[in-house]
Amino acid sequence: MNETILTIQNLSVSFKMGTRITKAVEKVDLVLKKGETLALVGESGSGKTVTAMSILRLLPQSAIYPSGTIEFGQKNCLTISDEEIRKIRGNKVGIIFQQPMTSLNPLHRIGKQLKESIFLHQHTSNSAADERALLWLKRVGLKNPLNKLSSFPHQLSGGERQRVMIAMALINEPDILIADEPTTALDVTVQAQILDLIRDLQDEMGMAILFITHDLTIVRRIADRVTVMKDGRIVETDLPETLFNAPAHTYTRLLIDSEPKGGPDPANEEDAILVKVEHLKVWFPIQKGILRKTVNHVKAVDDISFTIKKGHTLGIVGESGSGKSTTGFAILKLNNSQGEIILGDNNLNDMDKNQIRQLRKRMQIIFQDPFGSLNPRMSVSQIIGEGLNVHYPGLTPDQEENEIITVMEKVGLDPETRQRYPNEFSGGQHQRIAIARALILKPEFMVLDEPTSSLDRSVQFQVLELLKKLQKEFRLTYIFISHDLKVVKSLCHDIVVMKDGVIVEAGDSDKIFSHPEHDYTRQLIATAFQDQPS
Amino acid sequence: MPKINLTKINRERWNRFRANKRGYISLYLFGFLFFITLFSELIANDKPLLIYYDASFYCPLVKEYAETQFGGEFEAPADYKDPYVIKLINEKGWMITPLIPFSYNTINYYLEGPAPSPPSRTNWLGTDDRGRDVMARLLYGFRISVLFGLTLTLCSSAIGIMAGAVQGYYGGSIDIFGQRFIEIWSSLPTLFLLIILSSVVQPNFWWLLGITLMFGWMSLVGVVRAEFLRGRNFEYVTAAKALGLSDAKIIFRHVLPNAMVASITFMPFILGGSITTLTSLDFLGFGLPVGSPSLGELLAQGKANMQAPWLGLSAFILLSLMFSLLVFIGEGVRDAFDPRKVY
Repeated sequence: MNETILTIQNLSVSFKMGTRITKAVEKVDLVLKKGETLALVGESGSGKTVTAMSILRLLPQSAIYPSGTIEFGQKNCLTISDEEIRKIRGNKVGIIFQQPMTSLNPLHRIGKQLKESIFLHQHTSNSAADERALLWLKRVGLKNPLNKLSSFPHQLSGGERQRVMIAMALINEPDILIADEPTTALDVTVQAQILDLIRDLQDEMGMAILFITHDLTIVRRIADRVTVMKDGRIVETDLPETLFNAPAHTYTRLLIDSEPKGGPDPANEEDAILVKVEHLKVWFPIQKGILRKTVNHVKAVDDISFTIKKGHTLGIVGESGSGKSTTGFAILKLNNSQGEIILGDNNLNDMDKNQIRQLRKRMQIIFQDPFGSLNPRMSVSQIIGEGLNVHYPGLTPDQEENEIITVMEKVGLDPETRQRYPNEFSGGQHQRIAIARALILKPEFMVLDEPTSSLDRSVQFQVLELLKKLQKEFRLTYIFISHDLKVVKSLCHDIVVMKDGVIVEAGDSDKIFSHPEHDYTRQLIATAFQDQPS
Repeated sequence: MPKINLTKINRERWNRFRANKRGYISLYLFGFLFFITLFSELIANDKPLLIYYDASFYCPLVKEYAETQFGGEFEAPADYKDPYVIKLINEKGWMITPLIPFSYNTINYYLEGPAPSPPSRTNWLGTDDRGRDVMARLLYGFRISVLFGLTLTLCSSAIGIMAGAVQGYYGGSIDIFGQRFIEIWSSLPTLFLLIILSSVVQPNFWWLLGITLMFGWMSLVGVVRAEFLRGRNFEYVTAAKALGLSDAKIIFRHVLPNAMVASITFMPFILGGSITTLTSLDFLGFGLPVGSPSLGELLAQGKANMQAPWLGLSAFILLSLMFSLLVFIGEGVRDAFDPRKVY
């Protein structure tokens, strides 16, 4: 096959914090060939990003390299001078990061940032660089490229920003492109476009791509070879067909099998209605002038109505900005809204702050970022017990402790660990702690705001199973907000599809998945399930 | 070392602080100096620490004795610097004098030349223009400066943090009006107000503290407000709201700890600033009442008596030592609270 352009041999990377040394990558061997796409797959913390960052020595000061070489163009990237590594960065090796929002400098125009990487590595005139930047904006498929040159990053959407990042990474025509989860932060439909773009550009330019991802769907679509990493070691490297059909390693098999499957537990159609939302509106005023006169509104949620029966799960589906999270927050009165929100016999929008506070134990929420929703300064038992102090103030410390232990067992956490702090737990465990914190108040109704989207697939699966189990046991009612249709399919009885603040389609889950009526729903389903043989 | 139960994060911070040798040594030195000066009365005093006279003990620091008790003639309080009284006591017993036998306001009447007199064996750093021992004044002056600074820092931080917390947490009109008020308030000329006030009342320690506090509490508002503006959007704050916690509890338990890092980092520098304020007021003559041991006043004397360089020099050296130590401690604290710092 093609010639090898990058060889990583026996690479180990550790982080030094004071006297403590944490191993991140151990004895990794990797070969990247010209023109191929190597997918580096693994769950968070498996060392895939650290491996890739070591190539350009982009790791923080605390990183040390106990062993190994990274050979690129007859040079060892780990030992050459800073001067030389700078010549490689952005010139021979381009890199795209996960967060298109934060990897562009918000203070500079797109054109200036693009030209910066040209000037760094080449001597060209300003006008030639302008031309080149414009050409590249066209090449990455941006509409109206001339306009975009003088735009600021905030004027671009997430997908557009990621296209700009790709243009920046490729503008010097590198030999290698490192793509570190470039599509994770994007909506599904945009993801597909970006992947196609990367593919097309690779065909045109023939660069090698090191594609880091945790999403096996993407791997299937884009990779020539796949390397699976776990706990800093390489578990397996193979061609995608072989790997998916006959995984050699148990861990790989686990990764492949942990795609969400099945449907929700059947629910009784005759159940009483628990939550009823009528004409819900969340409008944010746009104010102008010195007197802050309201000139218009951003209609985040515009006149939506739906009902949920007790013990059922309603899925709210949509892309980012469709108003699905805002709806969830509004129902829990975490932001202001108009319209009727009826829980049992209470209309939440007619109640004052204190009455709402009393009701909080009946309705709870689970957030997307499991770590961010836990106060890092509090121990697990403090976190879980916090709501108890508010809603059940009569409990003795012993009773409180018992409640905490019981609920921890319910969500599958070891009660012995209750004195530890959140940073000692993994992502999945964080989400279990968050669930325990909500569950201890004995709620009837929970809003799950993308509870699994920041978790690894295999962990997602476990959390979903847990949520199903709890629903059955306590007859919980869920609103499940997600952009991931596979997950929605496996959990929800009813579905509401939202776009731009309005409901485009609503109905029974089976019906929507088998006979979607609206074009947008059809498009969503098509992108989500396209890798599966129909 | 007392055993304090620190959380893991705080233990790491303490280790990072200790790793910064300069800051660590400065903290010890500053603590040592402050500790010593807290007992200035035992080190520099015109009264003996203990007198043994006629088979019984006397402690002039606690109780005032008349000269007649030691066989003198006057009913007046005994002057232990008077050679006559010294002779009387030594005849029938002994007395332990402090290391520096002068208090901050003791006038040495037995100088060899006119005041200010140069350093000598009795007055190690000389005397000021009223014949008072400079060393004693430095000791007492250091203490009052640091005490003033500490009180001012603690009070102004407490007010500043509260103001910043409320503005940042609630935002909206509270924030806008609070910020405008602070802008107007901080543009008031503090010095003129002090001058006017000092013509109405005789400023003492508490007056000065009150006035400087009134115009100096704004230093932390900005930082704390910024931290709260950021912190109120954290998901665990929303989670706490969803749990039904009251605003006060959310502020204290969930948001304030984030702001404390920034605040504590600033505190050594605020302490330095507070001490500077007092010193400059004293230097201008609008500070502590006449006769109080103050470093600013000593500097002013140094300026007025250029022929006696020991006045200005000793005040200058003490002040610069104190500020250097505070800045070094501040640097150490700043680094200790920076989790990215590798040590």
